[in-house]
Amino acid sequence: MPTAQLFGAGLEQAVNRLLALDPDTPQALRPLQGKRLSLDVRELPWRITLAFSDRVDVQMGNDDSDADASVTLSLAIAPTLRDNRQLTQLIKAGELSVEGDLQVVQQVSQLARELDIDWEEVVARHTGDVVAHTVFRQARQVGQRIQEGVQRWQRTISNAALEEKPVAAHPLAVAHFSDQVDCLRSDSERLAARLAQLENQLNDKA
Amino acid sequence: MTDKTAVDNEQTHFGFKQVDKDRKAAMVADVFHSVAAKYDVMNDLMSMGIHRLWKRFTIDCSGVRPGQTVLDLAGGTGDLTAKFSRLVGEKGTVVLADINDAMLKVGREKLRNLGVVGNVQYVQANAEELPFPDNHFDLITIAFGLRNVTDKDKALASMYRILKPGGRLLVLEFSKPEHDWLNKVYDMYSFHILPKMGQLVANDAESYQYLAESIRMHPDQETLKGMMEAVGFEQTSYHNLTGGIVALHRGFKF
Ligand SMILES: C[S@@+](CC[C@H](N)C(=O)[O-])C[C@H]1O[C@@H](n2cnc3c(N)ncnc32)[C@H](O)[C@@H]1O
Repeated sequence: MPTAQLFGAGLEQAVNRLLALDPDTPQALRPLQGKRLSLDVRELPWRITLAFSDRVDVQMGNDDSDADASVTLSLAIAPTLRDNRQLTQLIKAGELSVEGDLQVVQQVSQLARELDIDWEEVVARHTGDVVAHTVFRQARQVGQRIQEGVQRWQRTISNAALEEKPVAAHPLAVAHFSDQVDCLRSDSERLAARLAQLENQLNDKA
Repeated sequence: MTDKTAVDNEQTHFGFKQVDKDRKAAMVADVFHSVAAKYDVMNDLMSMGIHRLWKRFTIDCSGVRPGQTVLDLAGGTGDLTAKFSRLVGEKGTVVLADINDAMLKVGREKLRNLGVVGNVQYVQANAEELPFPDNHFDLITIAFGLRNVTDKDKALASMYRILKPGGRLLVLEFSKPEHDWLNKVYDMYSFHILPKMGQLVANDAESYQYLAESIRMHPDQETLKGMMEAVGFEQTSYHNLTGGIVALHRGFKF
């Protein structure tokens, strides 16, 4: 079984499916038409080449390819590539090496960054509007609470650190934090129950 | 057994049968006329989808660039053409050539539905006498086509002629499994299971019996490599896929 090709086929499917979810993709791909970007990922045994047209074709192990740009990186920093400002820092730090047309790399990074997927609509296509809307509203609420919790915790920690110098959290802060975690846990449990209920309703209808 | 030993001047084989040379093309045409509509489904079924990976491997070895001119010979329903069309871009050209207009039609329709238009041409042509100028293509691929061609040496010479200096030929074709046990499993599969699947899905056991036989009669890896060298190809090599059930041969014209 040609493993590299299996990997390439999977990657290509995933990338194009993801791109197809954003209606602005054709426009975003336009500046990249006809360009090729090759990736040497340290953890993978093959070079990956991305060829851009009205979609993305993935070629594997193509060592005689004269790509417009080639990038060497490790998987760990892949997520940060979406941030153009970090590109230069990563290059300076030696985490990322780029040869060829830097603009192509920036355009690809931009493509990833601007990918704007309306997940609620994607889910709605499978479940119907009402369910998707309810699920996403609740998920947003939970997400917000988590964020608030984390922010509060960060504030507490930094205050504690400032006031008490030793970096360990103040017992009061820890107690406060556990309270918040409890509160969050019961929130998420309520959400789970609500989801189960919705699912039942859906099954009843079906 | 190689083609050369099995063929005398007037006769050639059609699967395991011996037939008059001038009838083989027509008989092959019949086979593909009758399978054209179900061709893609059968391909997926017969190979359990692995043919897609074999084709991807071929493309990965093609070194194809934007702006190039590519011939997908015996291209049938155009699997390779679709991808080449995107890879050569607006300034490039892909010619999908096949001897059989029923296959070409299915191919054209499929590609149109995929949105592949503009840089693809469709040409009905016999691989033995290719109707293209000398030194014309950067790349020629022939995937699962060569074994159906009556005079393979003539076809290879014809491909050599129309390839640009520096251009490359890729032949993807069934070949000889590297291991005995695989050979046995594979025989059993292609002579017993395959024709039954052909009967069930395409209602056409005979055509698939022919496919199985034609696979067995096709030259093995070293023989085909030698045939390519005999007509002028250089730096020839092959790569076995899936244990040698399929091999990709590569040769350059300099
Ligand atoms: C098994 S199909 C392969 C199609 C396609 N390349 C693929 O891989 O899916 C073989 C094709 O070879 C074509 N063919 C057979 N003899 C030929 C010849 N002498 N010249 C050109 N094409 C030929 C048939 O019409 C058929 O479409």
